[in-house]
Amino acid sequence: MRWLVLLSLLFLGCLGHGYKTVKSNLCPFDGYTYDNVSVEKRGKYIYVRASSSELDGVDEYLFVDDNGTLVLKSYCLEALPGSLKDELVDIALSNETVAKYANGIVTVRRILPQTAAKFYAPKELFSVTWHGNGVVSALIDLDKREVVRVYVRLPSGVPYETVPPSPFNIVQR
Amino acid sequence: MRKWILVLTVLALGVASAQTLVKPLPYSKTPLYHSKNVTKLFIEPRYKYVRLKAGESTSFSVKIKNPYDRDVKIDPRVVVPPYSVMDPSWVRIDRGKFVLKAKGEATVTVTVSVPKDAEKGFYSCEVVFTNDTYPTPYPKEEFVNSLHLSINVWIPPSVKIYPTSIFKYVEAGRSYVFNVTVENTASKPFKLNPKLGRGEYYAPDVSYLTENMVRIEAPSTIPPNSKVTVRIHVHVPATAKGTLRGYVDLGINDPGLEDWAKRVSINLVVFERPTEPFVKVIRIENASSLRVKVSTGLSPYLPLVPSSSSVPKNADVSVRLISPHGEVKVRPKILERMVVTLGAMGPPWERAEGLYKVVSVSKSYTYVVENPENGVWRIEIMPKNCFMFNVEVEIE
Repeated sequence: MRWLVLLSLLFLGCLGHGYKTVKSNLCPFDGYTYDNVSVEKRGKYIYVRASSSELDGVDEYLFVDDNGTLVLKSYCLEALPGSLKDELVDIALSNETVAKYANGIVTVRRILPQTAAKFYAPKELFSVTWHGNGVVSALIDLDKREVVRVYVRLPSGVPYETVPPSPFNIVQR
Repeated sequence: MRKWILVLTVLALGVASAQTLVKPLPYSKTPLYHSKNVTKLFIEPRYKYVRLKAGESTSFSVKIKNPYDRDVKIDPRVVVPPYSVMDPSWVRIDRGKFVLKAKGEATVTVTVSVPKDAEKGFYSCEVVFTNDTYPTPYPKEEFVNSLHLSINVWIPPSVKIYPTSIFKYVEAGRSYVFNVTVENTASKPFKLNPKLGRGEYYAPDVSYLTENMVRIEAPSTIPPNSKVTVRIHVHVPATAKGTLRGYVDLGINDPGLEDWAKRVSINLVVFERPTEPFVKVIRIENASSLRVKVSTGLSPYLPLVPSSSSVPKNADVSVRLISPHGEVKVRPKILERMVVTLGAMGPPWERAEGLYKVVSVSKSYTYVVENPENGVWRIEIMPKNCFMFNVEVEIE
């Protein structure tokens, strides 16, 4: 573990950005710290994978070096306590639309405030998504234990009318 | 005819005796909301919740609209219901009595100031704008034109607990350790005195953790600006079935934490893993080949199985092919299947351009036996870390 972090540090030393710069841009789940961070630079892109022995899953960040400024382009944050993931799945299934279409593999991801602001409010939210024949996803406000938006990509042949009407539903084919 | 008279008499007596106990509601053929004697104004908002610390204050506006073609006298005041211990002086209204013109609109500002010595808790009152009331048999007056104000006097918690809930699939007869981190963000220490508690709700197939199943290791204090770990050791009895439930009350003396927030809930689902392999018996008669395919992993077409993140992910199987003369060793063909999403797919809040994500992995093992021996064969499959597997047997 230490060896990996050390390698990452050495690698980052060769980058234009110091380890501290990248690290200060990482945001592990509240109350936890990463104990394994790996960084890979490909052209102007910097790929970061970070995990914690106390959390289930890996957080991935994609930064862009924009003339010396590190800009977060994409992220996929799955490093969360296992029990929290189960709790979020339960909350997601309390929504009628989600319960109707949930099938297949479920993923639980953290959504950062800058993204959440576009759909609900500038605060950390969680997304529970089932990838099956179609896709159904619930955006969750954990403070309120509520599903605040639902996304449905219907399987082929399923009519739009089957989705319960709600202003919070985004339906796609 | 005599029977009818008797019945009516009994009913009349019943009403008379009831009148002595409860004052009946006045009967009106006109629904209350449409009563000409009641002035019903538009009040927005009708309910307001504010959360303040002792010594803090906040203000908000209330809009009053008069839908009538006549003027209405407005007399704003604060009414504290009998069950509330709030002092009415906490709430100030910026306007006294005034007349709201026909079809007119007015805005009043309500300021809530919590005294420095106020105790933590929930307080409530009514901000009343006219004297119109609903008839009620209770001593509390129900005002028609009012705003219900709920005030939560709180103390920000200094202690953070994570995780606050534990969910895990467990095996009967095994022991587990769950670590809970308790972080003190204040500059003073807090006491820690964890104890096992049990839920009192009945649920089918649920039993509760008892003292002899749980051992808790924890320091007695949480030093300022530091983290400590509480270790919850759980031994699942060999006879356990269904769900084992309970909670650990951490007994932290942080006044900012509500009682429920000091608890770590525990939900353990006892999973009965088969100890013997699954056996499929087949009969071979003059076949040119026998093909057995065993697949494991998460199928994207199975509803909600398994949804839990605490399900082990390295699903695998051990397969044995036993001919009438003993085990046949065959090197399987291994096929690994992955479902990979591109960042541009899925819900808009999960778009992650430039990142691949593997959402599922499944493995299949195909065993082919050419010219299999005639007779009865046994296919034994022992699953590892999975809840299901698929078996396909092809005899050619």
